[in-house]
Amino acid sequence: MSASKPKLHRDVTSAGQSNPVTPELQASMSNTQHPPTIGQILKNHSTISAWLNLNKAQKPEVFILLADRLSDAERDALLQTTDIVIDIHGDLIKRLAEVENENKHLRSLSLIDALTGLYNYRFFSKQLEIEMARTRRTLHPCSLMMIDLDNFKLLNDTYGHVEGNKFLVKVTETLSQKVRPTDILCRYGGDEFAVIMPETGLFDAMHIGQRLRESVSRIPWKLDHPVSASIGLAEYDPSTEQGVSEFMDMADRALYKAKKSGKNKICFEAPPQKTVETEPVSQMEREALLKPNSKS
Amino acid sequence: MTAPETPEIAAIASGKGGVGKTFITANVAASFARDGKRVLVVDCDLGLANMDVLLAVNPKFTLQDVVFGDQTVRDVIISTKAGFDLIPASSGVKEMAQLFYEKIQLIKSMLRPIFAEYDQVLFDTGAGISEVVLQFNLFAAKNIIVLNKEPTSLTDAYAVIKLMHQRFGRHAFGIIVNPAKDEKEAGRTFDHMNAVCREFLGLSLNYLGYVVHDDAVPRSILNREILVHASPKSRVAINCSSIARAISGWVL
Repeated sequence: MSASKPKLHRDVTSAGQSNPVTPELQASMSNTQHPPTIGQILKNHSTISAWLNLNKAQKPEVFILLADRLSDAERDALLQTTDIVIDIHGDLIKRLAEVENENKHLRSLSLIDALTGLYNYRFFSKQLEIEMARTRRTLHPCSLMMIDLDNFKLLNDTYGHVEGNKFLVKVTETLSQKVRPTDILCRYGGDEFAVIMPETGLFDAMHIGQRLRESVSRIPWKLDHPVSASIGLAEYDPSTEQGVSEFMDMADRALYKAKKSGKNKICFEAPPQKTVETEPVSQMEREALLKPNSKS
Repeated sequence: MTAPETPEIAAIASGKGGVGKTFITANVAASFARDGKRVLVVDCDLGLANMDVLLAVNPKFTLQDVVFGDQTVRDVIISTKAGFDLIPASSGVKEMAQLFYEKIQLIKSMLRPIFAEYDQVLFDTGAGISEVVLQFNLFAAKNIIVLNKEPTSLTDAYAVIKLMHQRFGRHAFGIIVNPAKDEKEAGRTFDHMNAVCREFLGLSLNYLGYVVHDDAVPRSILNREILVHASPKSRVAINCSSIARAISGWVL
């Protein structure tokens, strides 16, 4: 979307119904007795990125978006103008907010993680549900692997997020090469990855996990501590009637075990056993069994 | 719908030790093999394995090397002179007898793809009611209990049946009587057990056959022979063949 000057001029003057503007923006606007001019707002918020960081709520982003798209010339021109007045109830801001919300919605529909190009969490949880249903129907095995990088936070803190992201991309490349074509590699979030492994029992999953763990530990990096991967594994057992979240919890518990027992490890977790109260053989049963049975 | 490649898996248990589980497993497996079936026997007595002793084989690797070492299941499988394949276990390894539930799941998952290559799989499970024993019995579709008329055999067999039923909801059990004086005595032992299971557990048992008492049995064990092969015309061999046919014909 382009915020061209004429349109801006037209829209800001018309009045709207709702108030899409955050208290912060409102506060900054009410510094002046009258609604501020766009020039005033741009002046007051010259460090726009800082302003954005302060307000993670969606509405201020509308304004940032607007200011961000301005070329220097446009910005200068706007700073000169005094006749464009921002009406906080204005239609433009409302519409920009709508557009931005829509963009967010569209982003959320995406199934691809922007940084790594892997499937994202959204796709992952959907696909896991499908694979579990397949296992229930065919009784073919299905395993789930959770991968968490060890010492990634240290790397991030030491070298910054940009380097951290570069490393994540490197890890992605490595993992992508080492999984089998039928494995579904996803970015679970942060430095955590997940692999759905259809047609794979726990034992085969262990072998793949071993391969992935080794390959990650071989990625060259400048930290004193090598970056490694902890891996949690679980095989879906349809007889347990586990749901998606319970199955994921199981793999998560395995991952936690791997982390806790010294990292750079693979652990697995079996479904919880049904605890059924069983009675011992009773006296009556014993007597019945030991009753002389030679009727002949 | 079940997986198309799922073979027949039967677990042979007894509760009490020394009722001839291993002898019956080996000889019934040999009978299956003689009928042209591809048969795999898994020695699931992880603490005190002895199928290899009975078959006079010296396995280089065992199930233990798969669980704790680098061997794959395929490295461990040996073909025996009895005509079936064997996955041997090792004796006297405490860790194997006390495997955690998780490890047992791991063993199951590595065995499953191998099973697809066989028509019939037999588990020789250990005595007692340890977690390993129960889990292998749970793994098998058909649960077979070997018992005889001795009081301790009856109570131990009943304990296994009751536990498998109450804890895992199993309701189909096949019974082999070993040894019995004759068919009549075997029938009486079965009827007795069946009556108690009906009364207290509401279960009807399936009779799979018996093995006649014969001194040739301990002799064959001493000579480390498979009786079905050594004396194919003997009553014991005929008993084992009919047990094999009964297992095949047992519809769950």
